[in-house]
Amino acid sequence: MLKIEHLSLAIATSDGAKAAVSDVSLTLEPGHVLGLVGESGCGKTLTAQSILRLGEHQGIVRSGGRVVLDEQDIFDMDEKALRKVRGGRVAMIFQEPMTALNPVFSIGAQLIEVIRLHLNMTRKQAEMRAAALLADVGLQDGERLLKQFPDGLSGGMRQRVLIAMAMAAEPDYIVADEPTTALDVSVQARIIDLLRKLQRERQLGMLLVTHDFGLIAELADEVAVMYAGQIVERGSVYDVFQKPAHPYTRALMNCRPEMAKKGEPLPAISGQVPAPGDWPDGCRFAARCPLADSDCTQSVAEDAWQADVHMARCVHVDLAAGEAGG
Amino acid sequence: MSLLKVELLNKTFSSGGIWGGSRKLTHAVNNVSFSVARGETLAIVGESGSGKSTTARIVMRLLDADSGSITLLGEDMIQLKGAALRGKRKHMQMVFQDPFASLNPRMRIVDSVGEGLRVHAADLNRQQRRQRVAEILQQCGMDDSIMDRYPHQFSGGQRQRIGIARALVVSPDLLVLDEPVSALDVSVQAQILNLLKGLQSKHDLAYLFISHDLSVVRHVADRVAVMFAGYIVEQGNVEDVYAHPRHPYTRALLDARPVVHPAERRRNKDESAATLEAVDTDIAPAIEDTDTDESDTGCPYRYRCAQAQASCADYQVQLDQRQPAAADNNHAVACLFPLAATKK
Repeated sequence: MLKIEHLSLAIATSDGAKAAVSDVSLTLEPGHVLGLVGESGCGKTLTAQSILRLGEHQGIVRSGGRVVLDEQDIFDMDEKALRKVRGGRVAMIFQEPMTALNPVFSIGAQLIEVIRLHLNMTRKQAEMRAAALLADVGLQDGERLLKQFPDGLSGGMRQRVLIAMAMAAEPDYIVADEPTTALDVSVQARIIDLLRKLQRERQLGMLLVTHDFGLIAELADEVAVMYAGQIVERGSVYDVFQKPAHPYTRALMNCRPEMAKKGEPLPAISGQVPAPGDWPDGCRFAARCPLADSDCTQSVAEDAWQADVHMARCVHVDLAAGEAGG
Repeated sequence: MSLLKVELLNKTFSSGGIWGGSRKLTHAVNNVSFSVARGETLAIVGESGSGKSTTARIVMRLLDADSGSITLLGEDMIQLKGAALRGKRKHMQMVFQDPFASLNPRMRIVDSVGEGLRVHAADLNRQQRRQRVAEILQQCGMDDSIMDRYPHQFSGGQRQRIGIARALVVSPDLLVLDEPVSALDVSVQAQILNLLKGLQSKHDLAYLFISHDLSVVRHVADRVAVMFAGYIVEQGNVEDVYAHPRHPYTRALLDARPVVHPAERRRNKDESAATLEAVDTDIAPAIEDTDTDESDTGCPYRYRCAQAQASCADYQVQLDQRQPAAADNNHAVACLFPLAATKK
């Protein structure tokens, strides 16, 4: 299992470190898809990137907690061990298929590089594996495609190539950060199908990071909702969709236009997400919450949350009712 | 009568052709016709490369069409030039997608928002302009105390409010909104959509709303035009088109939307809709030909269409109001073999 335990992250800025993620705990299991959903600035991408320590050169520092893979803290690993984990045990799929490929190298060169970095293969073997990987992600005529350069490919094809790259070294875990956000709706549907197929066939443990509840509804088994650096709700995807327990989750789901009645205003959430560093004591959503009262100045610790149970970080929530509804 | 009437717009871009390469023509907009009435929202929905943004830019006269006509308030916009065009621009304003790129970072909000007044209300003095800007900012949900600040001090949603204020300050009749909420988070998106709705009824505005987002379109639009490869392939009242899509592309597009609840995961089932198979846009949707324009004819969707037959290659794509769907004679489809009206 891949575990994030009480992870806190801070961003180094010119006025000192600002807290960006506080006390996040998540568990990725083989064969399971965990959705991490939230709006921009909530810390979901930083959390996901910290699994591979990707934010470090951008001034993201760990201020507490750990990320544990096979009983080893990723933050304690040296460069060499980390390189083996990156792409080898845990692979990443990013949002921008247009920028994630190097325009001056052929698809084949980039794919073969990844394969040979992780697997002990000759060039010839790696080439064959590259063509096979392209077939696995639904790209026909792989041999010809290997010679092509990224600019000749559509967004959907590029995303498939990136997924093939992520699969190159047979990872156990995949971190997919907004894997369909930049794509057209019809291409999106095909990429969702592909991710589901690969995840099931290979029993991958997947962390699916997105702002899109539709993507969560399509792919996730479990979902964690983030707000202002914290996880505010966690549960099985059915429970959370059926009976969202945190007022933020409920508000976020209800303000989607697909949920609204035509002609009626959308139930927008008033106010704005507090910026990192400006988080209030107690519940961070209280200032925007219709249920908020004086009790909300106390914070609800996540420590009391039980595994596999639908939980929310809210003093006003009746979790028992939430579960009965799910 | 309609405020804006667009007839048979065509626009072709050419690329290549230097250093001996063959010149390529991309037919970005093909025979596009629609109209928008006062107080009404027409959405143009389509995927990237469908020609929806090009259409918007032609309507705004930011691009010149190859042929076709644009009539705004009874006047032919295509013929207008220079000062006459500038004068007419007061009636139509545009809101752009990217609230970060569409405001000049070195101009104070009061100057950005008030810029249009210098042209269209030149008789206002500085103080009167300030007052007008304050008033319009307030209508857009922004406090007038922000007027002397700069764009970087605002979030995406606030900047989009400022962008809307900037368009509204000259009291236009028509707003062309190009993906106005696509860059925003869903909670902010809801605020902006509500704001647009409120402003529309307050000022009796007509909206030409360009979007790729089917859910947003359903919520905001009265009528919808679905574009594919530069053609409008289906047009009608939004409820009608969504409930009874007649064009196979519209149907496939609607079916490709993610589910709203995990219990509806249709693609869990084996019957993973044949229609989905047909929508592999890994084929670039824009139709590209070499200089010889003969292959220009035929339905552009036929390569991806499950219903396609040999005759589709000769079909002159044209919106046709045949067999109107129940009680709605505005529903038109450009297809030789439209889906049955009762389907879905």
